[in-house]
Amino acid sequence: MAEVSGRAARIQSTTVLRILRPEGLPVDERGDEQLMLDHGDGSEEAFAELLRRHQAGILNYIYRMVNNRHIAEELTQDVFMALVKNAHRYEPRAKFTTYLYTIASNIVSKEWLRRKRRPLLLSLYAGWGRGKGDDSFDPLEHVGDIKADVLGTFKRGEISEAVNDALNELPDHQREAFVLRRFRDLPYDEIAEIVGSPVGTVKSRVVRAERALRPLLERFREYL
Amino acid sequence: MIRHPAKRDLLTYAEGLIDGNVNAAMARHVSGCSVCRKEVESIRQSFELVGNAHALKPSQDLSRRIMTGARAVRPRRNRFQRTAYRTFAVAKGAAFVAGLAVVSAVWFSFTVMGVPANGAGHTAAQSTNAAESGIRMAVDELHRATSDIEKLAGAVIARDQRPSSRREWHYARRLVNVNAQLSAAQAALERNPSSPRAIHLVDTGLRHQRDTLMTLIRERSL
Repeated sequence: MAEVSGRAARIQSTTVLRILRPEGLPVDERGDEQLMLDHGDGSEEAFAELLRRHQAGILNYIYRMVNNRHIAEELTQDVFMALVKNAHRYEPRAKFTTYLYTIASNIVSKEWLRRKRRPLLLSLYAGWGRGKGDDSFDPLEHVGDIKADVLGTFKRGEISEAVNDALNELPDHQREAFVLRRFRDLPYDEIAEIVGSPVGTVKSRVVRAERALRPLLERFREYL
Repeated sequence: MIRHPAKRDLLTYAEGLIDGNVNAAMARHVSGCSVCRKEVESIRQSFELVGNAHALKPSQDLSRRIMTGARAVRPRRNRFQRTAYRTFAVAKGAAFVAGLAVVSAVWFSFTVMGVPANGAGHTAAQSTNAAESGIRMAVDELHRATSDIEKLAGAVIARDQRPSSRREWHYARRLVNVNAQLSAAQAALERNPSSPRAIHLVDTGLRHQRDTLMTLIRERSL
């Protein structure tokens, strides 16, 4: 009896009163798949939450793939618009991230096709400003932050630039596998589903990409 | 002769994704084999370096644009409507197949039975030709404009790669921005060729690019 009352007291002390909305858990505690279903049913706040969770990931994935912030932002917008347009057809058969990154991967592939057809004129002056890339890292954004580790920031900026340039040297499919694995930290089986190749092939692509990047990043090893 | 593990196995080992007996066997091999140890260290170092790269922060403007776009296209369907949508989609598919069958039958009767095409067919063909020639004209126009700019750009970079004065830097910087905007606009146009806003943006971008290049040439010849 004493044991039962003791357990009840423990439960009482650990129980937190939670107010649930009519649709269940609060938005920030719902899973991605549930949020997507809710969004399909017309919930705007579910979409806002999905956007908050995945916007940075998608933007960075696309940015590493196309190496241009403006285009990356536009394609990110396209990815989320595609998500909105297809929300009513969504069925949670796989993980939501697989679904989302598959959309992103398709949009990036289309962009590559477009780039191949586009005249090279538009990149004539890309070399002016900073490096070959674009304006992803603006040092001015870091001025005025007293606590900022200036040397660390500088080194990271340099590494960033070198990594972006090195990624540009990789074949598209290797870059995609490498970015999804190392920057987005997705498991190999999920990447395999996204790119539509076997897991072994994805691993080989990551290995080849890493070996190709190694000499290009050699001079930065002293920073480690 | 030592048999080394496959590169992809070394990769998964370096990432710490192998467990159990295989991991222990791999660790034993790596600790005793200088070639594989070096390979694993290099993989880890590369990954650490890559992990140090900056990540972009999405701008407030991007979030706002996405939310605004989502509000404009967001379908407001509940579960019942979703089922209805699926039924409608199936019906649409069936109608499409039926339509295809009718068209094939008509085509068959025209070609095999020798029935001449009517006037409506001619009108449709004419309008398609007109649309095609319109698109071709727009593409020619774009090619002409880009070749002009290519010549101007050639004149600028033929002299010197780097701008020498402060003003030149200013114009060069502006050109980089114009190029980025133009690139984005062109991407939008290719995605949606009939969008008047995209056409306007490309047009404006090309004009800005031309003006900035001409200013640069003027700066350099002074």
